[in-house]
Amino acid sequence: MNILARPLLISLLLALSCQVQARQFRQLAPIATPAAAARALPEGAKPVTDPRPLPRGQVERLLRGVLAKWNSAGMAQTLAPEFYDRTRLLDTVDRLAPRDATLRLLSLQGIQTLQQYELDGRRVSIVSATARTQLEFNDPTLGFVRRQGVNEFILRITTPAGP
Amino acid sequence: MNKARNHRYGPVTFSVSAALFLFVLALSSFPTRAATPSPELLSLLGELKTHLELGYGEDLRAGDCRADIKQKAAHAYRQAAAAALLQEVVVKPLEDGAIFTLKMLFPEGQIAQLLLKGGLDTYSLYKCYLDAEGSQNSFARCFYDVVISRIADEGVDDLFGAGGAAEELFGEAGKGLKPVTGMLDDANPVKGKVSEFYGKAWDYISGVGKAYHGKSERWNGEAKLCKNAQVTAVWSKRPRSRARGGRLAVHISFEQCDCTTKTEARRGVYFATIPVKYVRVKGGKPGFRLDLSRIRERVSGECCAGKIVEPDRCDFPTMERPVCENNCSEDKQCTFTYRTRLGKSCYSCKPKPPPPPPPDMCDAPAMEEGACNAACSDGECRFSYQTTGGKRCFLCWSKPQPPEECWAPHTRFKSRCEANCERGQCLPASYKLRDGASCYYCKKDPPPQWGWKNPCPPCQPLKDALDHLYDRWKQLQEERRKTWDEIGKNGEAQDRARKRVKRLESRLSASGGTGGKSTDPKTGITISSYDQGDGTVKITVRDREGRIIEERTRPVESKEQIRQRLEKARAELKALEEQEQALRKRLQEIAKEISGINEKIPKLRARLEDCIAKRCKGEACDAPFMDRLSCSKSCPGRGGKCEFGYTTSGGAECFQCRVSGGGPWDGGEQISVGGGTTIEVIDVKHVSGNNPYDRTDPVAEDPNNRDTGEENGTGGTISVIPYGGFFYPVDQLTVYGTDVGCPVDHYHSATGLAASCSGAIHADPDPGGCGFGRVSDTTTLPLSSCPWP
Repeated sequence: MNILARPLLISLLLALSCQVQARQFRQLAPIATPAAAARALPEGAKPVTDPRPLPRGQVERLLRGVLAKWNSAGMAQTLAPEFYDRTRLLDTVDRLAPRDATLRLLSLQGIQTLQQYELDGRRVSIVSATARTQLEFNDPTLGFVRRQGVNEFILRITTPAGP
Repeated sequence: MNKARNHRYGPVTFSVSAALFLFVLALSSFPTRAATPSPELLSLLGELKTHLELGYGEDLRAGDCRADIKQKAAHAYRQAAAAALLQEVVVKPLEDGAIFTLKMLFPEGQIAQLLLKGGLDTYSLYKCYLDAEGSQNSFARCFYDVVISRIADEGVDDLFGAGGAAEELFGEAGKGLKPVTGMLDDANPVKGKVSEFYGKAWDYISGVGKAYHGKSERWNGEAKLCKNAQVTAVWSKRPRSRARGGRLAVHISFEQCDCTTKTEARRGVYFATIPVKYVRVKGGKPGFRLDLSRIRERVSGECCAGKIVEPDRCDFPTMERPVCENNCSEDKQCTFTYRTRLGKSCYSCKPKPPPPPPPDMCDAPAMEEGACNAACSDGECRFSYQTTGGKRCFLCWSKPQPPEECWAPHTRFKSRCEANCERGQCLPASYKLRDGASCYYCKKDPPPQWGWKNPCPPCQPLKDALDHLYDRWKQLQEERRKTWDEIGKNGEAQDRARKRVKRLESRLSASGGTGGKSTDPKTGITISSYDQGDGTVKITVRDREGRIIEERTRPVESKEQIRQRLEKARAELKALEEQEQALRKRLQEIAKEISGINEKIPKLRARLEDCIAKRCKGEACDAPFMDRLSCSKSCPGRGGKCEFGYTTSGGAECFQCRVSGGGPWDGGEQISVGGGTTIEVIDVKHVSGNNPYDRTDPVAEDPNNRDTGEENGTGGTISVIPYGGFFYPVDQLTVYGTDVGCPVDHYHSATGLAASCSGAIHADPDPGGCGFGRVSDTTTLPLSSCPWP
């Protein structure tokens, strides 16, 4: 009995160990199809057939406008509705930022058009722009203060659809 | 120059030069041995003899012995050249050389003999060598032509006669001529075997020629005339271009002649050079003959009258003009060299000077500056270019003619311009009319740059409201500052009142005995008062060691008087406290109003900036403003008038229809949004350094480092003193020691005010006591919890 049971037991253990080794943690990666891509777009949006990356100069000009409105009443207009904790940011800036604090674009490092679609006859581009900014204000005790930082801005730029 | 000429033509010089010439000629060209003259030289001497005899009687000139010198020279020559031949002579070396050359070309058969027998002259054969001038090809061509032409002229049969000579010549046997006829052509006359034959022939005949022409012959003769009459002839056989036989130079001299007349010569020298031509003699044989047409004679000597005769000849290499023009090649020209004493002009062949360089002048229409300035009266001379010689050339640029009429849309009438120039300025144009009048154009004002400080009219009410709020905010701030000042003064007055009350109370309590004393523990000063019983109280002030600092007396007050004064002081203190309360209440009201303004200002400013962005900076007018066309269409129907409102930053002019002079904008919220490019920030991901979009602290240098510092407690803290539910940073406070009101170290503010961590400003809560609190109560807080200071 023992002579028969031992090989069977060993075989069973080997089979179980093989099953255990086959297990692994996998993420569900949907296969990219036109339908799947269309589902990622906002409702009513149509994917463009001829994606055109936005010119660097245009993105830079627009981003300068956004940064110029930081710590001003126009800052709220520059934040998208889906900006996380939008109201909290506006309150914090109002509360903590000195009155004369301004934000300036020092350099624009990388620009990448992540997504592009048409919505209501206008072309919407989701753009990633890595920018070096400088916060400047005058402190009563420290004098002129500047604080530089590098941040990646995810921007939604809407342009006329064009030809 | 004259001196040089005189020296050149002096008689002595001439004799020396002639002798030197002959000496050098004798040394260089002739063997010293006296050789027998060749027949051809004797023939040439005979020809010259005839010429001299025929020349008697020439050059007769009154008072001159030139003719006598020439006659005596001819006489001497006739005597010396008695052996001269008077007939043509065949030059045997040349004839033999030509025949042998012909035989070398036709080595087999009887062709050479037949050709010579048939009349082929040796003169032509040798002439081919002379004409070839060193070219073997030319020699072969010439030789071939001579042979063929001779055969053609005479006919083969006549030339060679019977006997099959013609067949021999043109058949297989004529190997000498065949290669010549078959291989010669214009491009390459000598080739293959022919070149071999002609090469040998050329070598031979050139050897003959060099041997003959390389030598010169000299002949000396003597004559019995006067004394030392000598005749010398030198024949230089070197072929020349127009003298293939060379040149014969004859020198005849005599001296110490007897004089009978003045026109006779006492001594004289005759010198002549005659070119020698290569000629055909005796039916086709080579010979030489003098070219007496080109003889050059020179006569010099001394006349019996003592006159010196100089050779009126141009000295070699100079020539007379006709001779020079005949001798000069095309690349040379006759250049005047000097003039003889007798006036003969002598020329020499000299290379033509290189063509003169192009004149260093400005090409038309360019001119030099001076000429340009003179010619360019109606224009302006401007530098154009510089020549290679460095001359600066200018061009005359005519000034533009002023027009007769103004260029559209300019007008010469300023009033008309101003009538049509709204929001602009009429300025004179840069040009003027022909009659001197100016033209005007309307220069529009640049579109204004609307901004926060200068909004366009539609946004002006917002700006006005904002300005009003700012003004009010400033007023309140000023009032609050003054109120705080009053509170501070009130506090000081209360302190004084309290001290007075305290002093009166102590005095009142002390008035019951005969004396008393009080000590200030801080300063150690002790004040003692003692009723002396004479209606006065003696007051003594002592220091810590008991030394008397001051002693004084005062009249003894009654208790009633002290009490009255105490009541008055208390009433005064109460009034001050009530006043402080009123001031603090006003402060609260001011703070409340400021708070309200602070809430309003951002909103109003946001509206103003939004208005400016959407209504001032676009390219379209915003309601109630409209462009001129729209306004003119809608306004007359309402009986109104279009009035200019503003110009957008994009340059659009906006008008408003005013019916009854109403306000330009009702302050409504209708804002039209023009289509264009918009941008929104969806998210900001922090990479490094400051993140201005950080929700917790957008001003921090680095949000990540800030968090770490707080967690570790290694920094980012601040010392505060808690009081009344607020935390006051202690760095704005001053530490005071123990005093009457506070027995321990405590905090006061130098200004009486201090800001709490929340930003609220508070007055010193206990100015006479421990102020903002005891030093021992100081604690620390994270900086993030106390952001305000």
